[in-house]
Amino acid sequence: MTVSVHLFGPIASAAGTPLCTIALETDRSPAAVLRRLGEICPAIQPLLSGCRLAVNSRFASPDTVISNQDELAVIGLVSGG
Amino acid sequence: MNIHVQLVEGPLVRSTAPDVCPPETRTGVVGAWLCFEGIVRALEDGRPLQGLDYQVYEPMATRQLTELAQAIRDSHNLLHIRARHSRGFVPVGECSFRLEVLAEHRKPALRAMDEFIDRMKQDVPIWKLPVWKT
Repeated sequence: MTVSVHLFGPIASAAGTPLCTIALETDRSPAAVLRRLGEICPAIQPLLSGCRLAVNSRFASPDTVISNQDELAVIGLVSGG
Repeated sequence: MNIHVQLVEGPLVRSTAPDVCPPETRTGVVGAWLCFEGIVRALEDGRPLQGLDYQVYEPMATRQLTELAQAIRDSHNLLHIRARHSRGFVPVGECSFRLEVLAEHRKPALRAMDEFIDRMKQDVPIWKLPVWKT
């Protein structure tokens, strides 16, 4: 299954793109998405440890199962205010 | 509705008290009105800035801000809470964030203000990107 993941802020800058497409195998968890992103884009690997995955604009729980209809976004350290 | 959350393109209008004093403060119920404004500073890590570019992930940012405002209102027994945040470019010296809290008493209002800002920086998907002076 192929999914696209939105990137923002410093992570998008490090990746050089605001949108990253990855392939998921049997493990379709948020942790698998973050792990796969780090594999295909080593530049953002060090930044991913403190990140959470948003699925359809909500923070995902660890047991969420991703489908290819979902909108995914990596929410790294935010800094508004 | 005693919650108001808004994302605004560009800088927010600066307050000039007392003309912005909200009408609720004259009802006899409000004992504390706090207003915090976040202003863009001229330097970031010693480097001169033109301003900050705020990147916002919508609709999640508005939803997270709204849920945060509800949670803070309820946990601190606030009467009103209003939060406005900029999106896009905000030059140095301009306001990018404004939070107003109205409560019966001072202490919950002060605690609510601090907690809101800490949690916003943790849970609301807004990023500030420096735009350097050339």
